[in-house]
Amino acid sequence: MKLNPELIHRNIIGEDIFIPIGQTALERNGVFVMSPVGARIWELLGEGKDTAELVPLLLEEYEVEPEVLKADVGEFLTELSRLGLLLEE
Amino acid sequence: MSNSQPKITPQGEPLISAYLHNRAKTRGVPLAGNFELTARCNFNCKMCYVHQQHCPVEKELSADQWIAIGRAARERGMLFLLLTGGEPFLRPDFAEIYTELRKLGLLISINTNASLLTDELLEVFKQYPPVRINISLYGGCNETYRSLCGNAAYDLVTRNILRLKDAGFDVKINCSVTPYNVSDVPAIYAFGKEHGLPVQAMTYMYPPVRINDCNYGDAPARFSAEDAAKYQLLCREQYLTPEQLAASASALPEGENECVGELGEPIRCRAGRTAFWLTWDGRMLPCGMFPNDGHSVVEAGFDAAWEGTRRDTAVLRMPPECTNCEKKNRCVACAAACLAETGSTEIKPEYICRMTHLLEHLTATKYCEVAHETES
Repeated sequence: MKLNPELIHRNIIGEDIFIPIGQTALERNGVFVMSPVGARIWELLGEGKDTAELVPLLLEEYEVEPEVLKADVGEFLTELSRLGLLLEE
Repeated sequence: MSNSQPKITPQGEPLISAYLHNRAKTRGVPLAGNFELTARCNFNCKMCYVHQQHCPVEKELSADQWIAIGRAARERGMLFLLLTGGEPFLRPDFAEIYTELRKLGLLISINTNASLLTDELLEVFKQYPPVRINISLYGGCNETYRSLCGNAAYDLVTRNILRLKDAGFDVKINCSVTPYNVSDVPAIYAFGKEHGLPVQAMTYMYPPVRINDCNYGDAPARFSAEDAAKYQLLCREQYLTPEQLAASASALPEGENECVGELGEPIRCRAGRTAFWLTWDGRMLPCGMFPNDGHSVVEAGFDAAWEGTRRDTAVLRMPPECTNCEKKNRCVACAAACLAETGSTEIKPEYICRMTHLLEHLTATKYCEVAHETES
């Protein structure tokens, strides 16, 4: 899996905004807004971490039950794929 | 964690935009910019507030300058950007300016008359789609275009509107309604309806004080206030049903309002608070309707120009009579309009006041009767 390169991540007044450019902008006119946790996951994926590495890394940063986190991360990644923000390699 | 369907405010603005503007207001962030890339135009519309017959192209900022300013504004938080003119497609370097700014992660809208769209530009837009293209449609036939714009471009413009729409872009039609094109209002709305494009038509025209030596209130190409009200209602009749007009009229307060303010309120719009306007020669204004010199971005730099614009705007006051006016949320009077009409932001613009009252009166008279007939 890889991040859609046609998204530009900007922090605007404390909000994590993802701006589509290129073909993605034609398919989805507007912006995506992510929570800080979502933006952190995006950042980790951008650093080349694979999905299996995400949960242990996030457990070090957030106080959350492992099972809850695992389920949330899975749901988030599914949503990213559905929206075309996460692409098959 | 993400959102693919934008939520909309009652005013029709994406919720995220309204939210960011509210946050930007308290933090002094220039969230929205307007770059007036040129004052030149291949049309010569009678009501234009920018275009002059002889525009010194050598005073226009270069592509590199616009891109550098875009970068500086982005650093300060600019997200929304409108590229306008004049006619921006007249610049041979428009595609370069546009793509470089778009790649910065700016949400760019474009104002154009659509007559100069080329195949090359269409390809650029396909590669880097703009958020919206606002196209001025000035009439319903070539003859009206010739009369108002000095260029019989209707066929060309409508063909290009459809090329942009068919390519999948978000296209909106704007129309300035004047005595020269008012008879085409139904045709303009019909074109929008036939092709599924939103139309926004306005009969209020600002006195073009930026190009008429600050001759405040002088706008020879516009309607009387009475006709501006009459034809604004005509515009609303194109997209609202009689029942909707009746509902809007019955929601209006009865009787004359009492304008009793003693101290004018600060300006309420985003100009100079979260938004700015850069003229074609690099001067920052709160919005494009201000005739002031503004702050030179080239000489002072973006940050100093923005801070200066904020300071200038913070001390502006609206007319005391307008501050407590119960019609103020349905009136087009803003600081720039007051200034253009009267020479001061603090003087009530009689033309606009009359237009607003008449529009409400005409709507109530005509459509409250419809409502009563429907009820009976």
